[in-house]
Amino acid sequence: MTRLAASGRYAPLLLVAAGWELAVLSGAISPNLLPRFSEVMATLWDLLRSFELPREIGVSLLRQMIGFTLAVVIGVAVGVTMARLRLVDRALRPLVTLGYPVPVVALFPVLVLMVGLDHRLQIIVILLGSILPTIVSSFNAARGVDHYLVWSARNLGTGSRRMLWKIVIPAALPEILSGIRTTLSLSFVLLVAAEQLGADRGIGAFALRAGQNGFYTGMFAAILTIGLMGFAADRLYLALMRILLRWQEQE
Amino acid sequence: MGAIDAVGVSKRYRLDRKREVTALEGVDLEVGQNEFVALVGPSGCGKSTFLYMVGGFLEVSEGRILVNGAPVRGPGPDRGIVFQHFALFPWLTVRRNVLYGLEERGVPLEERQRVARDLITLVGLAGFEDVYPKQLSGGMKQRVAIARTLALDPEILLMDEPFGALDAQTREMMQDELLRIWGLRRKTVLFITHDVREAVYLADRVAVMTARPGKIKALVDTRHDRSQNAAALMASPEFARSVNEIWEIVREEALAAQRLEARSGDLGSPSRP
Amino acid sequence: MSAPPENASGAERANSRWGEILSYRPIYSVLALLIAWEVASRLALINPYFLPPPSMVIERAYQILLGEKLLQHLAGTLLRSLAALALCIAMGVPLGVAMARIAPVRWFFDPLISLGLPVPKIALWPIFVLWFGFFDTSKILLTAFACAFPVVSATYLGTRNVDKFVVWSALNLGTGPHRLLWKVVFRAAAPEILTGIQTVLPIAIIIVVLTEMLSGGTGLGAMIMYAGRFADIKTVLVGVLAASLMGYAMIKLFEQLRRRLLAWHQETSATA
Repeated sequence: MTRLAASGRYAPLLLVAAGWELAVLSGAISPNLLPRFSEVMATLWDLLRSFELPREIGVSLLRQMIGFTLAVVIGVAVGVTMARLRLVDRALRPLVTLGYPVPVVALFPVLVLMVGLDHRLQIIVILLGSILPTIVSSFNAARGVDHYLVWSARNLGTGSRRMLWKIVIPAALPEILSGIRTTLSLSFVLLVAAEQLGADRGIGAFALRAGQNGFYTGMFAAILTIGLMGFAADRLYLALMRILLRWQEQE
Repeated sequence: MGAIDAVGVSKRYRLDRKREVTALEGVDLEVGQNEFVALVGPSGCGKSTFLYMVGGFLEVSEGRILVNGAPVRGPGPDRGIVFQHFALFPWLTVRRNVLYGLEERGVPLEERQRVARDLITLVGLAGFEDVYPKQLSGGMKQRVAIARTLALDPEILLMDEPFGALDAQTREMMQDELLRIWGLRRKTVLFITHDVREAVYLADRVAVMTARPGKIKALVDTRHDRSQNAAALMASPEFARSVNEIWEIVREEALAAQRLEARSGDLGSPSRP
Repeated sequence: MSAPPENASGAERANSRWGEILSYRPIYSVLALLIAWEVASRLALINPYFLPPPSMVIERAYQILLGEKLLQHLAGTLLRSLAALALCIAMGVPLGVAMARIAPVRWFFDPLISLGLPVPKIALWPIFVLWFGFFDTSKILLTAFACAFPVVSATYLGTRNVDKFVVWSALNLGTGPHRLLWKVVFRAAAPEILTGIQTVLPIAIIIVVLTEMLSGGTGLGAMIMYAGRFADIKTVLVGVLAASLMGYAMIKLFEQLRRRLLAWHQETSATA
């Protein structure tokens, strides 16, 4: 029942696709500006079959996953530690405060000179760009734990160490996971930006190159794929979140 | 013909494609001019739903509701309403909140300033005119809500558990405040509450509603000697008798409601999405 | 920073969290960090090629400033960002309100918005170039498009979640349906709407800079890429610094505006 309703929910997308096809077919929009939807789909199919697209997708996904995972693991660890240990907080806070408003993409030329134009570049862009927001949101999540929970646990004899793992992290988990969701979409933005700025492989680079070479159907196909990747990753993550937070009371 | 005449009122609504809920079934209630009627009943029985229909915020599925002989057609200032959680306009000061209805009606400046001033003093909030709701306590907020509603001098006052969100002491104080205000500006009042003592204390008559689907089960006359002070009144045997009588009926219905819930699973109530 | 007292309101607790990130107290630690950076760079503890000492960066900034180029680039980025934000708000807020109030609008746009939110809008850059060229139009439109999603979403949710009883009270006091929208619903949803706008302020700057990096011309992004080609890291850092300060200033200014507009809102504490 719900799955049917869910697919019904996305019906407007079909309308958009239909509108797209009709707009170009009727001549209202020039096919030089906007290739027909059906042609883009056909090109997409070709690119998938020839494995050209899957290869680029694979490259991009690999970069994204490494950068994202590193950012999440380090970011959450640092954020939660800062929330619990005053010393760490005081030491790292200036770095975070200073770094937070800095747009990492603007540092791209510096990073190119440091690392060179290879995989590591994209991964580092993703890592650097994602890590600070993750630290901040994990910090806030750990801080925001209802201290009545902590006091109850202490009252029942929980020591500091176990407190962290048994109480603080589970209690902060919803907010941490929610922050990670934002980091996930941010990591895709950074991935695409880094690839557009200076990469020869990867789907963002492919799309840009296709545009420069006049391969417009390919360009649209690649961009649609990027969109789908971002969307799919988000939905998968939501499903994961739901499983991890099964115990949460529905509001 | 009473101020409010509800005849055979039913309210049904659709939860989803398969399920329909009947909140009220055949409610008959007459509230006379300047009468104070309290409506009590177990949680979820539909008392608030009924009030919202009298107020014109919800539509009747069956039956009709007449106000001074005319059928209800949507909300309007003739039936002023006061909600449990105050529903003040948080972006307006106390004064602006009270002035709101007067501005909407187009009352001239001097007159509306005067009316607002008088009302704010009447509810005991003189000096707080330029304060925002966020700075007020629960009791004070409710007074603003009452002043705001009274500004348009409605003939009928609809009150949806207005003191339910207040602590016990404030609640008692507000009950007396309401009686005092009602004494000065007599109106027809329909008052919803789940607190039977409050109902008996305030009202001329108490209507008891059954569990869902709600209908009026009993009407108890609770007119009593208001000249004595509150403590004496509440200690009197007549008072205790009325409270017990009504409480028994409510208890019966509350138990019936529990059995209903256990059988069919809680279906939720329409006014709380 | 200690845990808030037990009867602290949610607002106070929120302020004791990373609200301080934009406050003045850490300035001493920041200064200490900068001094450490300066010393380490001069002593070649950090490779001064990649991370030149702050003093040299500031010197360079001064040089560029003298040449008036920096101001030009800054103005370029700033104006584009503001234009994009203005466009995004002008289109996004009404759409969000319409979605909350008119069912067919919601039916059509809800999946589009929720589908679009996690999609990296910068991926659409080649399309915008194809349609609008390399100059200001494509940059402003792409930025406005990207910022529209969170703004529409926040406006929609804020408008939808307006307390029903506040609306009913307004109706009860004789408000007509037209005045209801403007006088009541919009004011009640204002906090959420302003928060949504606040969220996209830094995003707007980043995307403008990114598009400038991708297409050249004027603007901080273009300045950065051009300098990068000549390995002129100092200028790159000047650009980064300028972009960061711009973002910081914009957020601070908006916070002031928000405080002024929402003086009545319970989260606006007197001491913030």
